[in-house]
Amino acid sequence: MGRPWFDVGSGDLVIDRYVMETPSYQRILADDAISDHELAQQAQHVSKLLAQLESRLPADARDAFTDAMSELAVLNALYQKRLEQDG
Amino acid sequence: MAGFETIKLIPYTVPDLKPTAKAIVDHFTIQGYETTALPTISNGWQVSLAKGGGFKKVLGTQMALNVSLEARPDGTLAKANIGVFGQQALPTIITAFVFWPILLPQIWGAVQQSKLDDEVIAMVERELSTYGTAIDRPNPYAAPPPGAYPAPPAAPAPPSAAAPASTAASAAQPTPPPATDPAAAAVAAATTDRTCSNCGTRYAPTFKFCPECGTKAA
Repeated sequence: MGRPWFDVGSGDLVIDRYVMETPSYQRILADDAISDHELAQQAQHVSKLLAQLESRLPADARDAFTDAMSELAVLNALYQKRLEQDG
Repeated sequence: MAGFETIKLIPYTVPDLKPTAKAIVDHFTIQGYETTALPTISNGWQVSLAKGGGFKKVLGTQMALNVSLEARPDGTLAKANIGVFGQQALPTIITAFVFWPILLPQIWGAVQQSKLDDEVIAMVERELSTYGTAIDRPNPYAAPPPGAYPAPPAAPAPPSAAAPASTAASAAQPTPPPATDPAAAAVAAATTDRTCSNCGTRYAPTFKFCPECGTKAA
């Protein structure tokens, strides 16, 4: 059974818990200095995961995931713009 | 972030905000909150409040309602927003977290639902109004300062015994005001156009008897 994205009781997003369990995040915490190599390595890792997902997901699930990722990107852009606006 | 905070400028000041911060800590500690108070670089204080499951952790970091108090020339600025417990700034690892823009409104929504931000701001207001000094604010109903408005036109001179000869004949009768001021003329006419036939007292035309001697008005 897959891990839930939301807490059943509160409805809160709980993905940050899974983030903390990833080896890549633990590496970041272990060493505060981030090198170009680490960034490139993580970017490559994410691309690989997305490529695997794309090949495994049925078309409708892939579309739903694409929508969710796109809207998340929009939200982050909005958030950054708002931070700029607030100074 | 400005959209997720409650801010109030309270028109009272105190020489030291530490007792106010301590009062918040005491009040919420009794209610079972984890609390901590820290001085800020702007001579203010910040109090962090968190309570069990009420404030979630994000990436293992305990979130809290941070309440900052800062002295201003026009009062004390109280600001309540979401932050890290016992820290004055959100670390980059949180603000850059891809899901933070989803989590922030969720946490702030829980705060607003419990009215915790309102409670703490109201408490600060009570403390400051009890122990602080009120800041004088301009009274919108106060008289305007001299020169704020143009001076009114000079009032017409009252009838005088030293009136020029050409007007002496009319001196026995009340002098009507200038024709350029109909309102003043109406007032003058309404109050001076009747004279008692017995004692000579002048009185308003609405009187049926002379207020001085009681003679019936003509």
